[in-house]
Amino acid sequence: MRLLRSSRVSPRSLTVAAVTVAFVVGAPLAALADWAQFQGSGGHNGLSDGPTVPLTLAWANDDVELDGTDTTGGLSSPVIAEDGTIVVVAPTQVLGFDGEDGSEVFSVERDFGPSSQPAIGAGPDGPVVVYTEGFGDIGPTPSTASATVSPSPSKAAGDGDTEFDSHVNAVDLETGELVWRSGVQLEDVVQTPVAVDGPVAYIGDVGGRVTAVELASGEVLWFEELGTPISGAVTLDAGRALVTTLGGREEPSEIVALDAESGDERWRASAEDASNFVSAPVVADGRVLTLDVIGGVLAFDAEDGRFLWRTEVVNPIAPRGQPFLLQGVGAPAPVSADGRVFAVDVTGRVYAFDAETGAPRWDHALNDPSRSSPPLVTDDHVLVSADSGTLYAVDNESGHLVWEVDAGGSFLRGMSDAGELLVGVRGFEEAAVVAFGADPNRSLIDEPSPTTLDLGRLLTGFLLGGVLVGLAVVLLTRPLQRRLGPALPPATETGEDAG
Amino acid sequence: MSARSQRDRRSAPPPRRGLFSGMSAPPMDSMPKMRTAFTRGLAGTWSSPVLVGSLLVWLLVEWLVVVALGYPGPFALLAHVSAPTPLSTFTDLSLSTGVLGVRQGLLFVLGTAAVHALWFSLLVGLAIETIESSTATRWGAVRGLRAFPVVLSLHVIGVAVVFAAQIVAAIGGSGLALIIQMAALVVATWVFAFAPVIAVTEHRRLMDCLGRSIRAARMPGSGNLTFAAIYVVPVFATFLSPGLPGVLLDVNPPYGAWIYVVLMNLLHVAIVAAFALRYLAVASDVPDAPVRAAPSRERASGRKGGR
Repeated sequence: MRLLRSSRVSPRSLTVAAVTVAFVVGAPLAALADWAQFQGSGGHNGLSDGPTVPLTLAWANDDVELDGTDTTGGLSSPVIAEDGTIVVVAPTQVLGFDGEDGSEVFSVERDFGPSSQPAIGAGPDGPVVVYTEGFGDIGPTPSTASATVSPSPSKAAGDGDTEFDSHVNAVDLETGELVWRSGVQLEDVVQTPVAVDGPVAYIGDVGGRVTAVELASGEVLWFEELGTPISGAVTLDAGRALVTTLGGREEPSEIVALDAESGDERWRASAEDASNFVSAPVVADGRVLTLDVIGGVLAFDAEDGRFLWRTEVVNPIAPRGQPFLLQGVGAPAPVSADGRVFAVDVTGRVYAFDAETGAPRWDHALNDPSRSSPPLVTDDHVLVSADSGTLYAVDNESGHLVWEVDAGGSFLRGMSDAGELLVGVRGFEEAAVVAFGADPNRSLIDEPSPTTLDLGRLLTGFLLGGVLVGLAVVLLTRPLQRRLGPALPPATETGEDAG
Repeated sequence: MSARSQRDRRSAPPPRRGLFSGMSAPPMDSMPKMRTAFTRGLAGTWSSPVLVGSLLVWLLVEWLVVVALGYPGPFALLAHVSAPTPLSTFTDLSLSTGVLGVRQGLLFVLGTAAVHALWFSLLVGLAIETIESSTATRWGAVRGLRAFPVVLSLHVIGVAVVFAAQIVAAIGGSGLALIIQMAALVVATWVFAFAPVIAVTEHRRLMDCLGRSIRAARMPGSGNLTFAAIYVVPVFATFLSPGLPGVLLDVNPPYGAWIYVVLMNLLHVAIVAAFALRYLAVASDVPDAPVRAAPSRERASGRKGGR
């Protein structure tokens, strides 16, 4: 009877059971989840369910050899394949590393170009790495408003090929062989990460063109000219390809929503007070978030592009008063979780805002520049990689610093969730791949931001450094003044109305 | 030489001097040497508990106020609160934009400048009193208020100088930018440093103070340009030094940052007193403003009447 009954189980129940089994079995696999592109997913939300603080340096591969004569571009931010393989782009290589210990597992030649973050997508015979290469037809220093700073290789120092162009290419992750017959020709150099959504890769270049490429064939599905440089990775959400344009003298900086299948424009959005958008449009909780160069954090409705709010942060030590900068291949991006939006400026100051209203919640000044990559957000913390090589964790609720760990070298960037580990890169010419794992035996710290007034500390500093110095100065110079006497007799008032 | 030729020479107008022509002249006897002026200025101001105490109180109160308004640091910006303009203009600009952002801060810069002009006026009064009588009293500070309109005007000029220098530097390219900015600061300090002292001691009107300050600065053999350069260039270098105490975002500055800020302000105060001494020592030698030539119609009618 039982067997008979069980044979009568409805198809719907079977589906539920299958989903449940897949979920239970898949849970451990989720811990090894892939981080296939910039900030993890097509929405670029930077949400990580990887290891939690306290963290420790699990391993570091310092033996990464960069080919070519100009290696100042260093490594791109990594992407993580489903099998745990770590993939980065170097000035003339695409490199793969073992997720367990960081040892190099493959190296594929690449035309010399900016180290823009690649993406991993589904190719015809398994996963493929999609990357951009070459310097396009405008040379290595595109004339974008502020996109200049990060080390980027120079064309002259390349391998001497005068027929340089800019194109997209793909290699099979298993075999390391080129997937397409030839690379996809682009109009301009690419300094933003490649984005993938299902069978299509999306690329924005500094000339303002967005190109959609079919992963299976390498055919261009569509392209769209937007006129001004693309500021960040193309974002994929609900059938839309969202793009931020940097703007120019005449053109406003905008978020443009294109149909992901056809490239047709759906809507454009900008804000009156906003300056040049310098981040990818990040999608979180039905909002599109972006950053502008003078410190604006902006939210738009993801459905129709309706402007929701803009909050401007002020940082007196930001270079040229610009807290968020487009730094070559290292673009900033906000992150959002649990009703909050987080952003990190170039000086390493972390800000939290209410996701509904944009009202500031807290800020924490790390006083350690973070110019090369955006933060990650976990359930409890914002993780910030800094130029000093330190990885910081700031509590989502309180804004207090709860953990910091050194990567063993400078310019830590591109933290990516590799399941049990967080993987990033550091250095430029002397590049390394590093991984952090949980270290539950350590206890967290709890440090408020130095921008929070602590009257006791303030007055202690004043008494020790101000009052004592003042006292010493007076006591030391009084004998001298007594000996010297007045420098002059009292002045005679000689002016027009001196009487 | 005939009597007529001697008379002709006396009545001839003095040869027109260039801006820097006084540099080649022999040193003035009545002008205190730079080292003497600085030593007297330093000893007079640093030995005054009133002046040093006022400085400490002003720094603490100003810091608490700007922090309450939302300023997150850096504290080192207050190192130049007591500097003459346009050196202190950087503090005006940075504080306003640091509290209100770049757009609104630039509009509010005159408010910050007014507050700093008030402080500098009090400071000039105290510094002059220490030069004249070895002590500083509250009456010296009250007397200094006479200089407020002049100092406020100098803050406005300072903003213009800083912006103009940045525009010229941008045109001149990055190689020249630093030199142009530094040169602008040196020249502005040189020509306007005496104006507040004149306002306090001579009760002159604004334009008269500025004109007389320029003429005093340009007196041949005075060494005023050298003195301004020796002062401004190292101070300007501190604007560019990244490793100084108090340059991070921190509203609870440690004692090292306080030491730096207090000592820098004391240096500025000593320099202000030195400028006061150098002006007061030669005040009677400063040439009066040249009398404006009468309009041509009046001259013509005068000639007609004379006939």
